[in-house]
Amino acid sequence: MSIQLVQHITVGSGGVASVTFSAIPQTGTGLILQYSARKDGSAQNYGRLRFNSDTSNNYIDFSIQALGPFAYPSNYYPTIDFPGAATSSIRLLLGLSSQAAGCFSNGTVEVFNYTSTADKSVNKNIATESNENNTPNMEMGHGIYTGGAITSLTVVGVNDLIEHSTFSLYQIMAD
Amino acid sequence: MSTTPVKVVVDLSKPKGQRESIIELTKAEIKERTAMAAEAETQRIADEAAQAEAAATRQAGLDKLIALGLTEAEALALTR
Repeated sequence: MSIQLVQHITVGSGGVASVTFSAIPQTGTGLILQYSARKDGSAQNYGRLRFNSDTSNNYIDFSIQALGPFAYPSNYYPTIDFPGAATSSIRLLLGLSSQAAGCFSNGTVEVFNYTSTADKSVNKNIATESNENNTPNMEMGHGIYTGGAITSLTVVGVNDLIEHSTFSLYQIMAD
Repeated sequence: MSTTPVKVVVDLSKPKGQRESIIELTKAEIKERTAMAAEAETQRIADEAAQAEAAATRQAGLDKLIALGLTEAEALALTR
């Protein structure tokens, strides 16, 4: 098994609303997206992960979050979002209102058996940086995509992904 | 100067160096983005309210334990 970089991009000046990798080679057994999303402004930036530009309810999203800025043990509580129903995307934490502008959220998304038409398992593991309080904020979770083989992958931000944000797509090869 | 938000599309079928395109969002995409922003704000408010409520409940419990005679360290140890 090997892991090969398919493409790395760095967002330029002016920022972008979303990043899409299209025409993903159907030659691997899995995909890994590693991102470092830089936050714009003070608003929450919950992003969305979509496959194949699919906006139908073909996703299931189960997330656990622990959000600051709170100091353990007094005020640090995890929240768990159960998948009450299928949704139109998988949530990706790209920035929190508690983070200063310009801070990064770093995440890894793993997609298994992406070339299969069977339901795909999607794992996410995200941590945010903060210049203000050194408090880690995290989101981890598990999702399922039921919409067929994956040929494209999109990360959409509520707010712009600003300059110096990076996205790297890797492919896991069987040999 | 255009203020329309843009997206970057990386077409992996093309040779390296020719893959990235910057494209303006469609009206439908801008509409969805606006809806997403409202949803995110609602989520943020709900998250903060839930955190505040949990913190208040926890503190009330700690206060009661301390009122029963436990030290703060003992009360915190029970809640970990």
